[in-house]
Amino acid sequence: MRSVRDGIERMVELQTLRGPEVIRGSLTVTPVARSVTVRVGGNRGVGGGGAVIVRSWPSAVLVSVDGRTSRVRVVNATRWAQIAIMFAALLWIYEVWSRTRERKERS
Amino acid sequence: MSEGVNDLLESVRKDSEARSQTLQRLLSAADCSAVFGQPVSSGDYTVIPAAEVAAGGGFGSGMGFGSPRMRRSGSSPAPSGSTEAGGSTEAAVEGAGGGGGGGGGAMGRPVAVIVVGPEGVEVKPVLDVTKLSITALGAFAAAAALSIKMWAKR
Repeated sequence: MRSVRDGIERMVELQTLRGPEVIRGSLTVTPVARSVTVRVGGNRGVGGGGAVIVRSWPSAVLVSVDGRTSRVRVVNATRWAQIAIMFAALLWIYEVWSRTRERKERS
Repeated sequence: MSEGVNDLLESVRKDSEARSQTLQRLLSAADCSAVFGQPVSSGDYTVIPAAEVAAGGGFGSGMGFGSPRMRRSGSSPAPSGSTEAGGSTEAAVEGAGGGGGGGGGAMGRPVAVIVVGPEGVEVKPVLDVTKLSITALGAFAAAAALSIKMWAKR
C-alpha cells in the first residue's frame, strides 16, 4: 500500500508557486499559482517511452498591507461557466428521461 | 558490425538527450513566469495578467538486433552451435536498427487580470466566450440528441 502511494507521489507532483512581488507604497501583492505535473515512464537509456503532463493555474493573490496579509482568490470564471453549462445539459437530460418514464408508466 | 552497433547506441544516446531537453522545456510550464505575465504599470495602476497553462508530451523509442545466425569458419562443416576440430561456429548478429518518436502540445488561456490601484487589489475574471460557446453547443447538442432518442423510444 505504501509503495503504491510512493509510486503515485513520484508520478504526480503538486507545487505552489509564488510570482514576483509588486510593491506599491505600503501595499505588497504576491501572485500565487498552483501546478500539477504527471510523469509516466521516461526511463533514460535504451528503449521505452514516457509522457509528461503539466498544468499550472493562478490560484490566489496575497495582499499585504502594513504587515497584515489577506488572500484574494483568483476565480476561473470560464471553468465554472463550463461546469454550469454541463450541469444544465445533464438536468435537461434527466428531465426528459423522467417525463418519458412517467408517460410510459401511465400508458 | 560492432561499429554499426556503436553508431546505433550513439544515436540512442543523442535521442535520449534530446528527449530530456524536450521534457525540460515542457516542465517549464510549471513555472510561475508562465502563469503570471510581467506587471504593466500605467499611472496609478499596475496590471498583472494571469493565465492557465497546460503542456503535455509523450515519446517512445526502441532498438533491436537481428536474430543471431551461426557463422561457420574453418574447413569442415560442423553442426550448428557446436565447436569441433577443423571448424568452429560463432554467433553473428545480422544487423540492428532503432528509432524513436514523440509529440506534444501546449495551450495557454487568460484566466484573470489582477489590478493594483489606489483602491486596492481587484481580480477581474476573463471569460473565454469561444470556449463557452463550444461547450454550450456540444453539451446541448448531446442533450438534444439523447432527448430525441428517448422520446422516439416511447
